[in-house]
Amino acid sequence: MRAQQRLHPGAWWCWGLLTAVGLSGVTNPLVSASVLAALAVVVSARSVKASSRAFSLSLRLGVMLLVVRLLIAIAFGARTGGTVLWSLPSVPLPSWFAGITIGGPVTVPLLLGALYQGLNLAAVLACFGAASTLAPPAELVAALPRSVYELGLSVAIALAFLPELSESAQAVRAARRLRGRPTSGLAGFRGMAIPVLEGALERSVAMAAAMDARGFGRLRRGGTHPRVVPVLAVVGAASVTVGAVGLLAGGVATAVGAGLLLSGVAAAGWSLRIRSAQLLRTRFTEVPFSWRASVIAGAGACNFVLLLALNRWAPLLVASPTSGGAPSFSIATALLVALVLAPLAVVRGGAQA
Amino acid sequence: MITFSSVSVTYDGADASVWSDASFSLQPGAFHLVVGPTGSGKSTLLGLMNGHVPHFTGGTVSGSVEVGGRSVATHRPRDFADLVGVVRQNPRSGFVTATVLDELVYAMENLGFSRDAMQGQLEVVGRRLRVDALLERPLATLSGGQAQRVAIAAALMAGPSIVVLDEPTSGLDPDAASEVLDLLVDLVHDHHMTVVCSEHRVERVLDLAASVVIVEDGRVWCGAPAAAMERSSIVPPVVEVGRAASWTPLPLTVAEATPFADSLRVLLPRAPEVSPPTAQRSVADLSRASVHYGDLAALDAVTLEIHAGEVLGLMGPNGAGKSTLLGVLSGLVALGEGTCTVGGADPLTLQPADLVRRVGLIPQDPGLLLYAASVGEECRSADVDGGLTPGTTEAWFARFQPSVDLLRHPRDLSEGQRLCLALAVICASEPPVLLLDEPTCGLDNVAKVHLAEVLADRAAAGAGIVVASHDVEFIAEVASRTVLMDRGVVVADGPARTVLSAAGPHRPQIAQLLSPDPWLTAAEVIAAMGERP
Repeated sequence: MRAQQRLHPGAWWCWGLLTAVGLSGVTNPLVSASVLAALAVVVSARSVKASSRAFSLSLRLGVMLLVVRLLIAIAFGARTGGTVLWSLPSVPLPSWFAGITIGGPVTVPLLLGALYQGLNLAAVLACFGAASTLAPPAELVAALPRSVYELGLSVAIALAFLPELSESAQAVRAARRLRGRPTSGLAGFRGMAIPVLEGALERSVAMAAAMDARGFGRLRRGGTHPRVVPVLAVVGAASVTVGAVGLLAGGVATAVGAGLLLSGVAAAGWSLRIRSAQLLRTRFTEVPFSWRASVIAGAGACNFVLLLALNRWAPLLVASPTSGGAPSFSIATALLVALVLAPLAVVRGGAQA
Repeated sequence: MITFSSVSVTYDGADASVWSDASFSLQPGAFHLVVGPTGSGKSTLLGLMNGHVPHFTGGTVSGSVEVGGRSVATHRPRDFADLVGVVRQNPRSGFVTATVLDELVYAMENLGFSRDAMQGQLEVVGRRLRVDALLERPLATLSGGQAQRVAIAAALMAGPSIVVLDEPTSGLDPDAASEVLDLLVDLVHDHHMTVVCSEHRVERVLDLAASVVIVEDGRVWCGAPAAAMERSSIVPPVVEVGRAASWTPLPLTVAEATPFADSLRVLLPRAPEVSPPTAQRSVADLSRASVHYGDLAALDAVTLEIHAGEVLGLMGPNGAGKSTLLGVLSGLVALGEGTCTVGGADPLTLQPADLVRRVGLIPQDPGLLLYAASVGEECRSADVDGGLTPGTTEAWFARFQPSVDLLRHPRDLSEGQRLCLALAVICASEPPVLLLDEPTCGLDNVAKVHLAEVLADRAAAGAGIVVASHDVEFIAEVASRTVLMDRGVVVADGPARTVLSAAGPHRPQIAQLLSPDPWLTAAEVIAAMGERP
């Protein structure tokens, strides 16, 4: 009963991560903005209010990135032609600093270019935020096969940092007010950053201690790890990386890239298999990867493929303010939004605790 | 079951050992109480019992610790997971998953239990600890008492024969605390488990203990409860009176002391008078104040006036609205309806720098107020914040904790020492309204007496003080007026002596012993004994 109601958390992470990877480098602001909106719709439909902090935090971080990106463009951006809005005094640099300028005229294309890139960063970040809101990292780790459990755990502790961080921030904010210190502005931010980080870190350490005390990572009696395991893992990870980069960047032939990718996955899988035989760990609730989960993960995969294909063959996705013309909303964008929203078709809103 | 042989512990970078040359052994199937002042090293002692010290914390351990035949030197905490269950002071900091069910099966999964075995344990332990109805709940939605029960159940699931608890009742209201303690009694008596438990409020658990371990002044002593109470600096109020009146055998509980009650009454010259409240200037005002969280009324049309020079003890079960009330008074929580005025202004609208001069709140986790990298720096920055003469905060801190090295990091202090530092930081600005949320969690008697003195001193200087606490003995010690709350409303409000001596099963020990005379504390009884000609 319970297992059927539960959705495999991996589904949401496939959906979020694949969309994020596909989205990186897509500078069409309409694409970024519509994906952002679609993510917000899914998160607000699915999550309980209290647990949506990770998403709102990622949105806030996105806005910060956007602002920083704009400021950097204004100060150091490469000066191109176009309508000049205002001029900053420019600092002459020696000729070997080619390509880098400080100050100079601030033009419309300069600002627009930075804005588009910033929006893209924000959208990618929001994908992560949405995934960790819809399926808390702790849940994801619990659902991992026991062989990758330890690996996943280090990732989970790193990811758990985000929600911990936002909770810690609220507590610190209240406490700063109680001590009569500013809670906003630059001074507020500076004073809060350290205690917030400290709090989240402390919580992570306490969690690690509790896990240790409750038998985390116990091996079978007499269990050891054969030496071949780390070798296989490293070789596997390396060929996955080279294969994936080759495919994405187009540096190697598709067949070679795919071959490397597949053999890497196989090597890593084999090492994990050997390793899992040594671990004691069992599972109480096996959450099956149901058809619903497959649809959600599939939507992410489709997004990835669609964006990859468009990136290669339809440069419409890359909006450049200098090449003229307003960014356009294409059928592809509509399809993308539909795919981001697809999970809502198979799961009822708010059903999952 | 647990054997320490000439054990000393020294943490890395520390000049001296936490305590040294501890030799004792704890018998199986019994309840063992660990007592000692704040920062004396009780947590270190408990941490050794599953290898948390030194494997996780670092440091050097000399001598040998054997638990159930396994040596701590060669076994890591995970190797003790099937033998020793650990429950920490704050149950939430030990949670590793998101829901109760996941949390309960966690240790069993790591130890490779079969699904059927897990199901069986869930049913048995779940029923025993009354957590079976909570299985589907997210951990974040549990009350304090529920969270502590889940933490204990999670520690018991893998079937350990020893359970180690670090102050398991300190954050709980009296009802939830006695429920948790009853569970521990069951574990010992019906299931022959070995329970090792540290506790500041000795009166809650003394009658359960087979032996008492005292950690004090760098030494560890272990013996029978009666002998322990003769020498411990931390004793319940009846023992304090019993020691002063030289009762033999020394009674450990109110029931054991009852035969001496009549002889004690003869020694006391008069029953204490209940002084009628005198008309005083009000420093904070709540008028029909309501706060709603969804459907839940955390505060329901509360009207309350806090006067200059009084210490108001705010009591009531968890969820009664005490923390919300303090939040409203300190401008952290917005009122739904009604008004709140502190020093003539609505605290919600005040700028932080202005707020801190009118009202000071010590939150339940006092560490939140501390940011600096050392105690000394913390004190100096508080001087700057409040525009005070340099050294003011340091002087306040020295009153609470005279012997703490100013170079230490606030996070390395014990809970009690940290509270004292936060208190010093807030008190330094001498706000006319001082609010404390559960200040006595993790505080030993000596620190409590200091705290009581400081609160009395602040009250005498004209401050209005509100202390929200479950610690009825502490409220008896400090409060001039007591307000009882339940489900967002005030159910009793009056002189502390009247309200507390009528507070039912959770009355102070002395009130239980000498009822109907409204005596409340050991200190006033001992003082009155001395007055007799």
